[in-house]
Amino acid sequence: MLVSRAAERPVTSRGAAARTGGLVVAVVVLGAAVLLSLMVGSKALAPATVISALFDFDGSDAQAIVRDSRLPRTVVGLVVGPALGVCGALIQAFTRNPLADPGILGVNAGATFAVTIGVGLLGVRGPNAYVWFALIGALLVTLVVYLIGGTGRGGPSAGRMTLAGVAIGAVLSGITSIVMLKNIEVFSTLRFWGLGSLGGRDDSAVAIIAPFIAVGLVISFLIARPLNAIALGDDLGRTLGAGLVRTRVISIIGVTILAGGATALAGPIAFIGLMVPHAVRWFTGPDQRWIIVYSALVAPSMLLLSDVIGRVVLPSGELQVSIVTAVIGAPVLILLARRKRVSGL
Amino acid sequence: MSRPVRRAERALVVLTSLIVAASALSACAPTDAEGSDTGSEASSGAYPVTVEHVYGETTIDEKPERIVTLGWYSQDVVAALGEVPVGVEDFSWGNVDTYLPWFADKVEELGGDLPEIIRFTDAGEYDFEQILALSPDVILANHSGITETDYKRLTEIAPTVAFAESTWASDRDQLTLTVGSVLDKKDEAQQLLDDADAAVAAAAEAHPEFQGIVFSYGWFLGEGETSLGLYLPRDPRVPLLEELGFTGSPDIAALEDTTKEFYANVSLEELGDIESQFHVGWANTPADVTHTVEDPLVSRWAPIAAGSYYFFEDQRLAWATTAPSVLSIPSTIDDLADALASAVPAAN
Repeated sequence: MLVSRAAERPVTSRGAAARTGGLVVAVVVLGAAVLLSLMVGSKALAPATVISALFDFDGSDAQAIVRDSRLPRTVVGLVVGPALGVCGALIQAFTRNPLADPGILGVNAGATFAVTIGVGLLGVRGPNAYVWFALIGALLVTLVVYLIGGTGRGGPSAGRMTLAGVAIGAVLSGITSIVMLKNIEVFSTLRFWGLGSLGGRDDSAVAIIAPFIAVGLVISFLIARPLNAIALGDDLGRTLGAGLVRTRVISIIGVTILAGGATALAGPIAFIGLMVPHAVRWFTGPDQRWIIVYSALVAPSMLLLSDVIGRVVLPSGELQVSIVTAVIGAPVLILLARRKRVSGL
Repeated sequence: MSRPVRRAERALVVLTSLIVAASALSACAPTDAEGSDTGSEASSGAYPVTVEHVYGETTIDEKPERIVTLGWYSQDVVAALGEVPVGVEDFSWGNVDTYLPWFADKVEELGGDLPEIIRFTDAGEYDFEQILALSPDVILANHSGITETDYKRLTEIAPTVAFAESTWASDRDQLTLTVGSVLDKKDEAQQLLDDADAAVAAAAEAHPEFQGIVFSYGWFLGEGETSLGLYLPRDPRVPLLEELGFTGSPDIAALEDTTKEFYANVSLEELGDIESQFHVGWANTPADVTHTVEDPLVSRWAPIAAGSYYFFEDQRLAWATTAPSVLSIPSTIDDLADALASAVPAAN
């Protein structure tokens, strides 16, 4: 198994020059996505209107659309996108499961559960309060999953942790549903929080969350190299000197901050965290440093483009970005599953 | 979103799994319902009665004794016609507890027992077992959101009358006369309609200031939402306000072609293009209202910017516009008109 994976590596990875060139392309694509997100919406606006809205705001309704709606939701996309992509990359590396995503460790379920309890039992209102509940929920679930999956005979096991995450996630989602079903007010309060979207979010929530996500991203870049050793398997990783426990703990902290922060800000958005790191690996090969950098650039592009699609695809009204990513993500997932060789770690 | 409980349960499924997020797309898509006007072909006193509706024709062979109503509205008409249903939906919302007050009053006046509340399963479906146990002779879902699957299962229990064309949309005359014909009380139904029309006309006369004010009626803006839901003319809320003297927004009427639903979502970017001088809405909490009117784009919309809006804080009145029946209108139309009058722009 190890041998065959090692043998594949030269086939899937590209040279450093190609990867650097690809990075430039990824930055350009992200820039284009930002532009599209500012330019395109339900209401057609002239490019000149968009530009003056940004640099020479005249207070008109048309310019307000750009300044008060498209710009903030673009910023939310730029904050949440890298968090989702990098979080997915971390989880895939750390569980050694190329199809893992933040859902698999129960992190999102934990965040959603804590917010629901906060709203339903403690009467918490407003996105600024959701943030803390989401982060605490994500952290608690991650700790519990780590305790269940990481203790016992043979030390921590990625497989056991994944099982624990899936199980706890299912239980918490169930309880969340019950709380919402039995309490109509909780449901209506969280109706749109519960469906991930970039628009209509509170500016102050962005200001609170963005530093968390920045820290999470820095942590992720720092542990990229030890994660490479983990990808070789526990035994080989240990002989290569990777601090397995330390790397796992730091990964968990990173995942918690990124997934909890993203969920607190934009609600649950699926598939980006699964799809982007996986697709990125086709191009970069298995080096986590490249995977993480690419994921941080490609994920926000995908998220913003999905949001733009959601704005224009309906005859009237808009589609939440989480629905668009699910619709786009499902066929991509099928495509991935049909490939003979999953792009392994 | 006008029917919080039902939608809550349906939409919760969306939250529980990713795959279902995709199916929410299809839930947003227009339904395939190609309906024709529900026409009662029975003349008074003659069974069988055949009723046409969106899922086909339903024949009622004899006068029904045990009636279950699903959705809203029908239970009011049944009670107004002097019959007490054996099962109705839960109308709890804000200050309304379980039964609509005018319905409970009428049941008491008739000397009947308050009906059983039809439950929903955790999957958001009707509890068909419970409906079966009520052994109904007829199931009236004339103003509801029942699916064709629901309809087929309900038909196995008892003859079921679905809505005429669109979910949660109906016409007062047509619905009332249909229920009247099912109960063999068409003349009484017509009399109730005449009385309700007269009550609305009197309220309109008492408030000449409503005349010609272009209005919109929708719900609140939820957290993370970028479109505002507005009710279309096929929703009974809109014709009721028109009867009171208001003028429906032509821009909202134009949206009726984009969907078969009873509402249309309007992107906040385009909200400014919707003509309205007076916005009516409902919300569950005062915080919902604040969040809505303080949204940077909603706050720029003409009726909100002018402070010319009214959000129902009395859910009893919100229900009275949601399903304005021959039973609810006589007991609420004056309060309703006064409530709206408190917020309409003074100078028009």
